[in-house]
Amino acid sequence: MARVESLSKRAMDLDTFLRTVIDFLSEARPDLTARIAQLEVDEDMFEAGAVDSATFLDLCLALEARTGSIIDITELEPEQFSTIRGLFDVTVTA
Amino acid sequence: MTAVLSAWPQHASFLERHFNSCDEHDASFINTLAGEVLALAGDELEAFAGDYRWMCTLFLKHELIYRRSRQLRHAGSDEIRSLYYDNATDMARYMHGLLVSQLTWPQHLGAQLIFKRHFLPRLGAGYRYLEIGPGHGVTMAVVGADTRCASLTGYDISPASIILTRDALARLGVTRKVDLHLQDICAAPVHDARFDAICISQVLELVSSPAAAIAHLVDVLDRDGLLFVNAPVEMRAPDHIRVWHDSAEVDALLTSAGLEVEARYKAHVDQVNHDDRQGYSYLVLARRATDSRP
Repeated sequence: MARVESLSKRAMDLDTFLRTVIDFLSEARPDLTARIAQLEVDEDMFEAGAVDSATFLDLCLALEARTGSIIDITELEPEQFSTIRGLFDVTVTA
Repeated sequence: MTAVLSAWPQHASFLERHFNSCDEHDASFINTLAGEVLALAGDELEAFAGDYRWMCTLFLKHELIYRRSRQLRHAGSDEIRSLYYDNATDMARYMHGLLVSQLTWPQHLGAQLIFKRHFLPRLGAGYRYLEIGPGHGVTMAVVGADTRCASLTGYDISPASIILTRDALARLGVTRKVDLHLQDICAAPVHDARFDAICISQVLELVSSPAAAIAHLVDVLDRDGLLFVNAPVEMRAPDHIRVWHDSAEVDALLTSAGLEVEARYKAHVDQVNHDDRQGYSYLVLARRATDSRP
């Protein structure tokens, strides 16, 4: 699993979150680095081919470890957590 | 796949990778399976595709909870039964999703291929077939179309699933007699019958006692009969109460029941790199050990 260094969630704005996600995915999927680098905050990561289920789960756990938040997607529709902004909303501001 | 993509356009890249990595020799089987999915869905194809998306999302949510806690959400088979098997609406959606996944998930499609390619050819003329949890009916329909098969029997714990299986077999053109019984495989079968071929696919992780289930199957397996086991390793689902972490656990279960493993196969979730850590369907063909044959 790619590593995400610890950082207080209060210090993380959306731009920092975006870079964090891109750094994680670039390490997890080096074969897709160029595509991952172009990810935008409202782009569906699954549709872009940047994540599959396994990578998405690893990403969630890494973000939880970094922010100290729990990413609770139990009651959410996929559209609510499949973009970087969606994940930011449930991770940082939850 | 048009219906799936219509219900879930974000799934396109996954499906493209999946089908691009399929062996071209499997194209005929995949097309047949796709035809069966279409036949079963009928004019509800869009709803089936939506149910598939619902099921995939359910799996993802449960998997996140599992990876965080390393514990399954549900602990007992009674809880699972009330949540899923006795809930006709969700059971139907789940079955619809599972049906589509036979085509779209590498570990399910691979299991279907191995069943057809390696299990059925080992069976002799006039074989009597038993399937535990026939569910969506696709696997049983393959057997039903085999002229060497003498009889078809299914055991299931869910009344809703039995109704679904019977309807599915009719839609798939299986016109021969099929015996479907409400039967908990952890309890001794109440029907006095023996079988030459038994399929238990993705069931052992759902039951209260896999050892009791296998023991009962061995009891009804004929002297030279063949057992097909499909156990998901390092894979979880909402109705699982057990996780197989290693294929050796499944081997040990079978050998403890007096079976000999004849062949082993894996159908990986990661069909490109075949990474065991991402999970796989573990497919085993087993017979009674020579010294335990009656």
